[in-house]
Amino acid sequence: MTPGRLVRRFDFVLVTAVAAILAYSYVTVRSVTGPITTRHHITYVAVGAVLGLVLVVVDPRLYRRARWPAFVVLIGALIVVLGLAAARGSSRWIHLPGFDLQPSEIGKVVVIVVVAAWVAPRAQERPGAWSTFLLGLCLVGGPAALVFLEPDLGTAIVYAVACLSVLYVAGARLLQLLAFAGVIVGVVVLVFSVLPATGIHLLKPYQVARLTAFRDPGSSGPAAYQSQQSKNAIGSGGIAGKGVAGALVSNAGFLPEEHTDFIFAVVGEQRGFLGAAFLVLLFAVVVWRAVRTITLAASLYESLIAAGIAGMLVTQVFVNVGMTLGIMPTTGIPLPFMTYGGSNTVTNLLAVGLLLAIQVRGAIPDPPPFAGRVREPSVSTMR
Amino acid sequence: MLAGCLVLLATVIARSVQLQVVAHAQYAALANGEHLETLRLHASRGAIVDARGRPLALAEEATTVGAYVPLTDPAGVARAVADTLSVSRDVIYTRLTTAHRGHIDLVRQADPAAAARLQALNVSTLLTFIPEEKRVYPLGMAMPIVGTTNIDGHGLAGLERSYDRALRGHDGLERFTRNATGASISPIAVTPARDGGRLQLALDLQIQAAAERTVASTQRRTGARSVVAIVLDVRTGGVLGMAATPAPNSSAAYGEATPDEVRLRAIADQYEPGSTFKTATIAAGLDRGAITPGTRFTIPGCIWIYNRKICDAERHGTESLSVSQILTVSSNVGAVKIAYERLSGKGSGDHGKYFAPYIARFGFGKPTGIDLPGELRGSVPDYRTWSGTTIGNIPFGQGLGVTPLQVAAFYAMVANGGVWTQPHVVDRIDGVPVPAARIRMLPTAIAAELNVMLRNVVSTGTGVKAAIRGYGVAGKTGTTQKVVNGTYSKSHYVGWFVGFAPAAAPRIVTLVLVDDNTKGSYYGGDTAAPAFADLTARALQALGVRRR
Repeated sequence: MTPGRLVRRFDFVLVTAVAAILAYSYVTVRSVTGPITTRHHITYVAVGAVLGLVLVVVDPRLYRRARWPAFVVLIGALIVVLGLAAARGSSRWIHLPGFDLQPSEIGKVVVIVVVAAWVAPRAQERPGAWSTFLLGLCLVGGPAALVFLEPDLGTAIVYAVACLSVLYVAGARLLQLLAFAGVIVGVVVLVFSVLPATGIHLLKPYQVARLTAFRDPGSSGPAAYQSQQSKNAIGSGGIAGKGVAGALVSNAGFLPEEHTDFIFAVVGEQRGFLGAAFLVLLFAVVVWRAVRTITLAASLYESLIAAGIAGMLVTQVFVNVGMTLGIMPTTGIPLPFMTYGGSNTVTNLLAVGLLLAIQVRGAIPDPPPFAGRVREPSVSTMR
Repeated sequence: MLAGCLVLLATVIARSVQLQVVAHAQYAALANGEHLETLRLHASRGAIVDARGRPLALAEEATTVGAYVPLTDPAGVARAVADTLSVSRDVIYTRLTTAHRGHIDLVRQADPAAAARLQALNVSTLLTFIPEEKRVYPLGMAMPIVGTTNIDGHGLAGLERSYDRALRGHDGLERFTRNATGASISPIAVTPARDGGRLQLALDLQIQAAAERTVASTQRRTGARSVVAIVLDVRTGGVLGMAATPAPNSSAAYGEATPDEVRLRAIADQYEPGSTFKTATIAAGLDRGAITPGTRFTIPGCIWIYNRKICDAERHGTESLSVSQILTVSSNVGAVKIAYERLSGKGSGDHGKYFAPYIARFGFGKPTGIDLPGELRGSVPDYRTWSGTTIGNIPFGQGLGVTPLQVAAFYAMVANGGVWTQPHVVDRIDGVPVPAARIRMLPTAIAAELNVMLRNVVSTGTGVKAAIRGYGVAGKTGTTQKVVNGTYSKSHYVGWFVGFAPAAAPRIVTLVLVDDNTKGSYYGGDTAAPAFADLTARALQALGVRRR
């Protein structure tokens, strides 16, 4: 890896899109919170960006060796969180000096790397094997279950979708995916109908309330209120938006979680359809570059990491934005690069760093040098 | 895989279009509904005061006591409310136990002091106390003129109605945003309330009181069905006093009076003007140059106009009378001859051709435009519809209907040197004068001639009972038969006296009309003239006009 190659193959489109979203996030978070929160936000972004850039120069193949220790640490951290939850009631965070760590967020990247590393050699040996598919699911099943018990249904879903997207790119057969879908339906029926009937309640009451509110938007309660306020904010934004001062649903305290999970509603109210669609477009660019990385990767293992990250990003965007728009139930999934929050921001920037690291080591050859001229790096990356 | 991702993102965008473009109005309304608040800033209704600032109508603070029903202990609350505010306990209890749910008013516009005592009691937590404004009429005078409002302060009658917009003012609006806890964040726009205008009337309460006393005493003295009195300021056209019987009880509310008692008879009833109209006939003749005060006419006791016999009130043989004498003795035959012989065209159908236009010019047959509701225009037959005998009755005031105010305004014009001034009640709104129209109807010289002739009426003619010691008076009597069952009655009369004083420099016009007296002589010179003298003397004194 020479510095020149690193610069020539650096994905400026991806970085520009991510930077644009981060700038959008800064403006939006600052408009609804105070200076202290905004300063924290900048710190998280800076830390994430530095760590992400560090990842670019590290060969992703190195992580293969560390996969099992990392996996064990993740499981341990998640168990600690559950223990703390039992002791103190705070459920998702480990309080460290100066920083509240949310292991389930960092865990997204860890799980993707672990599953990709585990699946890649098996998929090359026996493409489409049932054992690979099932064991791969089991591998993610552990952390996902622990996250689900926190309780954080949304992040557990992200784990599952990221893992499925890894397995899909690794050559999973349609029948396998259909079978998995069938199992999910079965579990849903079990959790919602059969087990409650026998007196076992796996879902927390607030989760049931959110799902009820989603099925019946007219119902009352905090979940329905949150969803309604979000729709009010976005709908009242109209085409061009109400501006920062006029966006009173989000500014005046009607919309809870306005700078975290419901930040898209703030964008919708302040900037209207144009601003919201522009943001979704930026996410589309990021997802496109992530999917593109799958085909550029030097090895299947790296392709699978890219696939997991693409699945992780698109799931988060769709579930989060869908939730603010009232087409998905309310779950605590953050909007990548937009939502205020340390662990999430750092995790997503690490994921971008991984994508860049994979791209610069990609399989496509360098373009032929242009006679007598110094090549502009941006030209090569734009192809 | 990329396609799948893009489909998901496209779904999101499609939903954004649905919320933000298609259903935008609905969500904007929902959003505004929770953070935009509008508060009405109440404008105070303007006061009505007389010419010297004495209050006729005022806005007073009051408290409306209400409650959210149903209550758990309606009986206890009813007892507390009824005892404190001195209202019927049963009425309050009935309201509290109504089937209605939500907020109800228990006592509208209660005394604020009593409401404050109620607010100090324990039950007050179950009650609401809303400040309101109550309209009060401290003196109960000039009630039909001032009028009234409904409980919500909207003018229903009199000046309260005709000046409702000026009195009401404009409620202000405060639009502000509130946050989720309900606290006000910032006012977006404040339109301050503009209080209603203060009406200063031309009406002088001292003269108004005299007018109200005069009509009441005249009613007693003559046993009339009704008595009307008007006092106008000659120079300004302002109504200094205006009263009629039957009168409302001044200590009761407007709403308790019968429609008859609050009827503004001076503008809402019409009568035949009778001999008071002869002044108009002569004014027309003088203005046309057809006669002079000294022009002599041969006056038989009766004359025939077509099939109609016109006679003077008192039988007399044929005599020669000047125009001035015709007015002094109030000769019907003379008035008819002036119009018939001097104000007709040459054709056989042109009787009164040059007289008829003057009737309209002098303001008869159209409203004076006074600022009170319900004014009649009167009824003057259109010249094209005049029959052969019309010229035989209009010149002495038969066969047309006028309002007392039209007659008073005409005499004010004569007194004012020929300039008619729009009669009006309100002089100023918030200190700004209300303009009154002025029209010259007669040359000064002719007005002066009429002034002299009308003085003779009082000094030597039918109006001697109108004379006032110390003031020169000019005026005219009138006596008309009332039309009963389609013919002129021989037992029901309307007596008039209208005149002005001091005659040399007229300040006021006073008109007294006695409708259908049952005691004593029915002549206007006997029924109305003494009341005229009494009221005019009091009015002149109220204005500080010195006796000669």
